Amino acid sequence: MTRLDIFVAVLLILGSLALVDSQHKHRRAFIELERAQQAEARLQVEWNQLQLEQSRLAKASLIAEAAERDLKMQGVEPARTLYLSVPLPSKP
Amino acid sequence: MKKPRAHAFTPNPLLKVQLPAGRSRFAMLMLACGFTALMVRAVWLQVWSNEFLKQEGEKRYMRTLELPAARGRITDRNGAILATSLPARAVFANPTATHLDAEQVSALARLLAMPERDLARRLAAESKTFVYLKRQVDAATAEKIAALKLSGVHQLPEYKRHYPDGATIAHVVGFTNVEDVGQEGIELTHQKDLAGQPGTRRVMQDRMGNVVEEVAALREPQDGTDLQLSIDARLQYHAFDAVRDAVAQHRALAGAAVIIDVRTGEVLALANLPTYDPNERGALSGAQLRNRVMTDTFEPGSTFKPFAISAALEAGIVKPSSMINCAGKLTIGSASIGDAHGHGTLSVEEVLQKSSNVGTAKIALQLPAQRMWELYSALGFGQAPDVGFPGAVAGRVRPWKTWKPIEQATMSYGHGISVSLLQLARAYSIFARDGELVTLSFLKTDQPAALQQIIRPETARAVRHMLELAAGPGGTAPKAQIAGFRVAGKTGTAHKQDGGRYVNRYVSSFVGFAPASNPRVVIAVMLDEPSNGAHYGGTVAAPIFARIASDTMRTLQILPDLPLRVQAPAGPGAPASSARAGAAPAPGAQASPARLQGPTKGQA
Repeated sequence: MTRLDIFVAVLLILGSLALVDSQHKHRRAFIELERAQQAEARLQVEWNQLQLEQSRLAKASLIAEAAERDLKMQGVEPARTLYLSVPLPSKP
Repeated sequence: MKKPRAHAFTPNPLLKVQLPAGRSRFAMLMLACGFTALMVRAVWLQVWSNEFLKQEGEKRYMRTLELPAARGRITDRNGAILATSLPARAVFANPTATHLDAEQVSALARLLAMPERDLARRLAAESKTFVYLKRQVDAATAEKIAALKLSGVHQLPEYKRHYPDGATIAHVVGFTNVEDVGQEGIELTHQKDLAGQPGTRRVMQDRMGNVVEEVAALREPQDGTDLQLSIDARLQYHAFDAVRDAVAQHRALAGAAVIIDVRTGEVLALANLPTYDPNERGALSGAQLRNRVMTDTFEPGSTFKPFAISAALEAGIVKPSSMINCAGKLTIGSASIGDAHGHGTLSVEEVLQKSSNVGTAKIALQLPAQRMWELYSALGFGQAPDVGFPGAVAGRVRPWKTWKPIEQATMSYGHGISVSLLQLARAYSIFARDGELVTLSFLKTDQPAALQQIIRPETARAVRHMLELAAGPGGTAPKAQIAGFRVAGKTGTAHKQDGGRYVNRYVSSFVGFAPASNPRVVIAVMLDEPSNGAHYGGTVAAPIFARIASDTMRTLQILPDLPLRVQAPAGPGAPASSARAGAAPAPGAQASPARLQGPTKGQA
């Protein structure tokens, strides 16, 4: 009887320790997850920022200005364009 | 007991004293009372105050976190960003707890880009505990401010809206206020879709402030939906640029242009001048905010003539070849109608081509007033267009029963009636298509437009031909011509009213479409009070149309429908020149678009 008692008591102690340990591990993992999610949000913001920057730099007015003034390019006129007709690939 | 116990205690005389039994009972009773009190207390705490205590405990480790939701982005039809929100910070101070020395104040003022005096005044508001120093401070600056570690100066997270295309498209996109709520344009109409729903969640935090466990997600944050507009940023730029140059060249009060895709009813560009920068809205005036395409009406003048003529053709009163005597003046009652340049006898076709007021009025007077009114109403004049845009106006078309003959006559050439440029552009879709009116949309759509058959296809084709003549060498707007494409359209030069009288100030307009053989876009242009000599629609508005149309054809990669004389390219580029010559049917020959328009046409 006593032996069984001791066995059960040890089992209980081990179980409790395991519970504490797993709880701790869970929290550590959760903190890591939180950090990763924050990093994700930060990167998302950065991505938005970069997209905005791209839109800003790719503005038609800037491009037209640079093309005409710096690169001395001219607009395409239909009279100087060759139009080719290519048969459309038939879709399978 | 015959003998004393083996182990003898030191005989204590006290032990021999017999205490009264009541005392021990009293002590017992006291102890029992004590225990009872403890038990009652325990029951009280654990049963009755349980909830309260649990809450108190949770207060120490549970937090409800606000999860921000971003406002949706607005993009053009090709995905270029027109409006997006980025995190920013609101910098605020608690003046009662702020004690900054002069150096700190000047450092803060520099970072906030505001005058030191202004900042000092805000910080001196002793009676307040909360004062915004500046809102919508960008994240980098906010970090620098936080690094100053100023006592009593704090920050709150918020969002700032950015508009990379700025003034070019300000009137379509609109803007939001500092609370990220739409105030104008698409930002206002689609506030519900764009606005995000901030979420909340309950979490457990440790001593360091780390979230260690999520207890419950009370509400998921819902980011606002992204909107894709029908606007093409490239066309918008071309239209805006053309209008801006024209307003400067003709010293006009204002100018506007709109491009509509007649296949889908999408508005591809809508340019307005004067304009404003939605990123810097310090001093906005009403004139800058006005969207002249949609919220302003004007008397359209001659651009209205095709409608009366198509009503007459529909009713079978005239044929395109019928002859009308347009000489002299037409007198109705006390009023007389004349033309800027006298005409003789013209065919109906020529009436429109040469824009004769007398001719149009004579044709219109043969029509029952109701019939004209019905056409105008069917085309959407006098009703606010349903385009999901704030402040789109109805214009003014009086009920036909009140029309006097002179009014019916003037209305036929676009006076005594008021419309918006957008209504006018949309109405022209009946000529660009075969008599079908398109439903407009500011959002990108792949569906073909919702259509309404207004006039017979034959009538539409006949008027289209007349409009092509009007934009041709013998018409009022040869300057609307562009290389490579057939265009059709009508000029308008309307006197403005001031105090109920017509004055010598004008609204010059042009509404047309291209390519005329298979119209793809309707372009409407107007200039308000050009005052640099010229004011006729044909000299002022038509060149703007030509410039926008030509840029549009190129941008949309539409095949020319006019024979082109292949030019040798100017300047350097000899290899390209020879390649071109080799590929062309013959050097200097006319490339026939009829031959070139092959199956690629659907692609264009």
